[in-house]
Amino acid sequence: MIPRLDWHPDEGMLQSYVDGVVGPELAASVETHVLACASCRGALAPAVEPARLQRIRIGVEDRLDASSRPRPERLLRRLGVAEVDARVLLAAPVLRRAWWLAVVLALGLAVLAAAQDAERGAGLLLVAPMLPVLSTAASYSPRLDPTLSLTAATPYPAMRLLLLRSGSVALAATVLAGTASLTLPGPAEETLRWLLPAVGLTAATLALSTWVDATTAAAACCAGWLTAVWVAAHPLHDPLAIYQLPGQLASAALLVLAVAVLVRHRHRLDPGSPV
Amino acid sequence: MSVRVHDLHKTFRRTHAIDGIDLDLGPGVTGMLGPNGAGKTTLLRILATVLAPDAGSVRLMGGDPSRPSERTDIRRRLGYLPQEVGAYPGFSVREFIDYIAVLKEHTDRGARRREVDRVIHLVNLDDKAYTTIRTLSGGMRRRLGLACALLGDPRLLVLDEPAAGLDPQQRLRFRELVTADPSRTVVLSTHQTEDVVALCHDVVVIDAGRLLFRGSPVGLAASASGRVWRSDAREPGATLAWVAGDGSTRQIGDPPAGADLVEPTVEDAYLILVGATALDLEPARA
Amino acid sequence: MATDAELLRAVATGDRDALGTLYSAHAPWLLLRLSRRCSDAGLVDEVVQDTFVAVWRGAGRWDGRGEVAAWVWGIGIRRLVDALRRRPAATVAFDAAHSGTTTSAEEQLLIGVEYGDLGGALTRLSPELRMVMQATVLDGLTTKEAGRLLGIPAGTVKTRMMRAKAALREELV
Repeated sequence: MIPRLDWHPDEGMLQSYVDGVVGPELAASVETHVLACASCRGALAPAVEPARLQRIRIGVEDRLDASSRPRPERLLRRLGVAEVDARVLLAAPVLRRAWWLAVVLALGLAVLAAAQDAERGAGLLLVAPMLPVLSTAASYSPRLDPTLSLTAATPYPAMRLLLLRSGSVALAATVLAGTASLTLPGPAEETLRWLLPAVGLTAATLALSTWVDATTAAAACCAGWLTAVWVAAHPLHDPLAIYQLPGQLASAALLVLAVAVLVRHRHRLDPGSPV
Repeated sequence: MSVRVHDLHKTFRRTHAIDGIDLDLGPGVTGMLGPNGAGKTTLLRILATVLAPDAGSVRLMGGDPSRPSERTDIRRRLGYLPQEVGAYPGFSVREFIDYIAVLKEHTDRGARRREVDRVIHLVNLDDKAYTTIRTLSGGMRRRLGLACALLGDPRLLVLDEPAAGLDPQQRLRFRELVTADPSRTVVLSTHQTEDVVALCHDVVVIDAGRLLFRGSPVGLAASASGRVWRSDAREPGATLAWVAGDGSTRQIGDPPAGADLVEPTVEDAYLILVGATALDLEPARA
Repeated sequence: MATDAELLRAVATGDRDALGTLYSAHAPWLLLRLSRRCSDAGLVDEVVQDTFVAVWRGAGRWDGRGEVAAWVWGIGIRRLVDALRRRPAATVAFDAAHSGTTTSAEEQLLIGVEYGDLGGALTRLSPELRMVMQATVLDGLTTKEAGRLLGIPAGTVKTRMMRAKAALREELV
């Protein structure tokens, strides 16, 4: 039925329609007409309770908001992560694609280089522990995350932000580097010997940042690592000597010490806390 | 008293950014005037709980920010606008404010959306709500930061140069915003003495980490009484002199005998207190 | 003032404000019309909500022809049918309630204006036949959907439609 626009239901008819007392044919006429007539639609609008319309509208907005969150966040929520933690984890630039693309690229190049030359393989294994260290520092460095001065004034615990971010970033970096090192020749126990030192170093970086800023902490740990590598390598003429048992034990000790410092001084991670 | 500060000290490397400041602030708007490097930003950061002092005591809304649990509680009732609004450039205005709202514990999604809408409307960024932050002008970024600070209707608002980059119409709107709730304590820093006159019932002048004046804007102006005069030409002995709109020269300092003394403005008094450094001008004396 | 078509195109690009404008314009009549088919107000509210969420998601799929309102109705009535399938509620029979009412002379005149002879003939159908015709012709449902809406088997819908059309043909001939 094509509605005729030269005919409009009058006020009385519309009221009867709204009240539900109009006959079915007239109702059908009104309904068909309304599909094509904006002014009659407008005339009907006041008949619905504004609060009811508002309630439904809020429901629509809420659903659209929830489904408009990016997929990684929805995934984290499904895994049980609280909304605020998921947002904090995913907001930082360092957790964005560009960073990880760069890391993957760097590792890819290292693997390629190692494939050609066994010595370069050793290089990869020695550099690997520094990857989570640098990623961690980047995850809460004010230079890379411009919002930190603003977020520091919110009730969200600074320590939580730091640990969540650096923890997840360190994990991701470690997994990537681990995958890369597994491509090297040799059994897994050998190519993954850098894992414990990496964890120890990352913990040390976090522990140091209760005292100095992120960049300094990371630089100090990297410098310390390289020194340790050199000191261990020198007498034995083996560049990977650091990964022998004494090195592993030292890494474990470093890890325990770093965790103890972190726990003891964790409040210092909040910029507003007295030093 | 929402803010009580006693014998505050903060040193960076060798500079005494804050060199013994005492301050008591209550509801209403307090303006902080001072030249660059005076220590305003440092003081505001301490009041916003994002920096701890080296010495001295601070009480904000009854709480001690040096204690972790009290600090968190203070932050729940605090709004802070830093000097630089660092925001993720790829976010939209609404997304970013929503992120800050989540950090401010607005857990209910629907209520949060309405709160975000409310503050966006307060700062008049409604038609920019879905635009990317990257494309915003400086003034709009300030407004974005202000919106974030206003989330949750804080009892203490700490604003660092909030009116910078705003055009006259926006500044008027800003004034209305900031003075709307008389029970709220607002501390803001500014270079513009007109803002102080229009907004603040209390003004504080800071230079080199020290408090030079504390009182009302009228009181500040009055402190320069007898030190400002007008003449046709610049005279030696004036700390500062400039040509006013009507062609005569307004001068500040020790007036010569027989000078035409004029009613000092807040700006005159401020300039006397902080000297020529405030305007980066050459003193009239050669 | 943007037209509905322009608003819908804006919605397809992700414009939440355009959706808000469409909501203000179309939610009221939709709610009223759905309420005439289902007396459960809570269910109707849910269906209206679902409809506008679906409008958001499906805006890009509108073919650009005809009235946006008609497209929205198509979504709305189908959401109602789905909702009733999951949760059988009272579908109204506003019409059954009126089966005893005689149409006034004025109404008869207007029906004549709007539908001509067909309109008159429709009035003379029995309520059950008329409701089936309304669901299929007016609301645009398939026989299966009409069955779900009215709470009768699809086969019954088909039979009644045949009877209604036969009756109308007889009248109009």
